[in-house]
Amino acid sequence: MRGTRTMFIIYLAGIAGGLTYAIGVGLVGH
Amino acid sequence: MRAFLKDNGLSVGFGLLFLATLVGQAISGHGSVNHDQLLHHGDPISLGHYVSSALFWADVMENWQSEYLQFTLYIFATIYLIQKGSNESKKPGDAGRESDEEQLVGAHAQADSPRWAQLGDLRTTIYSNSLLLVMTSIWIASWLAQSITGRIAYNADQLGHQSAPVSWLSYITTADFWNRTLQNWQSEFLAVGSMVILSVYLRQRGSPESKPVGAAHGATATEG
Repeated sequence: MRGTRTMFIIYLAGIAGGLTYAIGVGLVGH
Repeated sequence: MRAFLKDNGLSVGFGLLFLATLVGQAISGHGSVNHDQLLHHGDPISLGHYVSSALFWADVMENWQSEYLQFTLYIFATIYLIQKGSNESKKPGDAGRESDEEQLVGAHAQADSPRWAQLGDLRTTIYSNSLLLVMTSIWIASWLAQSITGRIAYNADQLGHQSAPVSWLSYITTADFWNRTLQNWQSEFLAVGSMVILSVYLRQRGSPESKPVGAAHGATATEG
């Protein structure tokens, strides 16, 4: 399980980051 | 490092594939947009401008939402629906949410079960559905993001053609929104249906997505 929790967190954080950025871009109307 | 890669080859490999293809999408999308700009006698935009634009993110989000919908629906449907002979399905007769004993929760939890599986209260109920909850949340959020960014891209096109921009509520009833959505959904559903039925009769030696090569066509849910 070495590093598996890290990969889990990287995926969740990356997805959340992408979603947040996309919604931000849409709301700002860039 | 070697042990880390050995234990996490799938998540690392697909993560890298994702990043490489996202970069590829950005470069080719940028080229495509600038080609369109040239045709319309407009000024080309920079790559940086493109990857921070709603145009780019609408394309990314419409694909994300369909993928997460696919997995969300598949996780949900396979609780209740069976495909006899498919490795992707539970065995006939196992349909449903199964007993606490089978699911190793509450009093039936084992020493190494996750803590929230052992508790037997609301936290166990939440944890029992956590995969579907998170996947559904990502699907809804990415579909929402698709609609918000898609509207900006749509309105840019409207303004470029001397037409009035639309509100978000109007945008989600447009042919553009539903065309972007459904063209992705149809391919996901076909791919899932194919995987379910093809795995009844076809095999891939060594893959857990397949039955063992010598397993009977009628055998359902045999680990590869």
